[in-house]
Amino acid sequence: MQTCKNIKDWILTDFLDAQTDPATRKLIDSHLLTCGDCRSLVEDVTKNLAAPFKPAVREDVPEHLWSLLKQRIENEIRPVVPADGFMNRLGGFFSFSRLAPALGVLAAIILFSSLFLSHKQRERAQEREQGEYLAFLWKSANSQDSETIVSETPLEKYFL
Amino acid sequence: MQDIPDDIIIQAAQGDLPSFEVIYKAMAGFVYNVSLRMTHNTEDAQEVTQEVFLILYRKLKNFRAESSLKTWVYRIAVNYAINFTRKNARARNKMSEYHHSLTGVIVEGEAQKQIEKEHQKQCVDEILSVLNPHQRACMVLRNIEGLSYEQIAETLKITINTVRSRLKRAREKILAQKKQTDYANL
Repeated sequence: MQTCKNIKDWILTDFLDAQTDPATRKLIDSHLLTCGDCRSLVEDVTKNLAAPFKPAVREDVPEHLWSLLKQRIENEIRPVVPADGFMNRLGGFFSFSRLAPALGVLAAIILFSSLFLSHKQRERAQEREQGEYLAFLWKSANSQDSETIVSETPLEKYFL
Repeated sequence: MQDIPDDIIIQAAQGDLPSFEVIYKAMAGFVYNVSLRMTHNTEDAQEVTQEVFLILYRKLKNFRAESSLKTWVYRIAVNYAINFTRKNARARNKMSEYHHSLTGVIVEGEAQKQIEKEHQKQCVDEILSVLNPHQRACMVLRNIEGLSYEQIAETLKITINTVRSRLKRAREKILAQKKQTDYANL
């Protein structure tokens, strides 16, 4: 014995879409004879679900649609036209738009390397100055010793 | 939709535009209508249709004859339409504008028939608008394109029971919405 729920599921699907096999159809028909609720559901689905779709509701495809589509396909498959001669291709290769990024990178490299080199040169100059100063100090220290020795008086010699 | 000869598919896959036009003419109706019902908007549907066929043109060389071209196209179209619908919530707002523009217009003869036809299409759009994109896709494939449960399952790469389940939930939701609207109008 099928319950109303099973019958209602069938009514909403296979029964409405005429997809039921003969045995199931017979079962549904016999249930409908005795069940008012399910009969009411059949009326409901026939009126509100089947009837609105009954007339031909398909629309014609607009005529211009193929032309638009064809145009888009042709634009997509159109081959890239090569330049006429060698000079044109060469001109194209050296065009500003192609060279601009490369020139920019080159300028940046030159700027950075010049900054780096000037910094190095400054460092070397500082090191040289420091070396010269140390050499001067060393020299002056040595010369002070010799002066001390030279400048010793007889009195100093006596006490030292 | 008629079956497309293999040689046409091969030539189109090699980039032959007239062969691709044959495929387009055979399948544009399906792609456009699914897109229209998913987006509820003619401009969006045209955009989706163009994008789907551009994808097809690019990917046709990768097509393997394991599944039919029809199923492959259906799958690409439905998946693209579902994604588009998710991204473009504006689709839902378009209908009410249109619906209100029809209200109160009294026309006779052919124009009256045309209005009724448009109104009927509008009703279908309103019914579908309460569903999520996956449920809507199932309803469109079944109720408008007339695909069987098996074909829907193959197109969406889901089981037949999932198709059943989505259709059932979609229809329950539509009926609940209808009852709510009827109650509000009392």
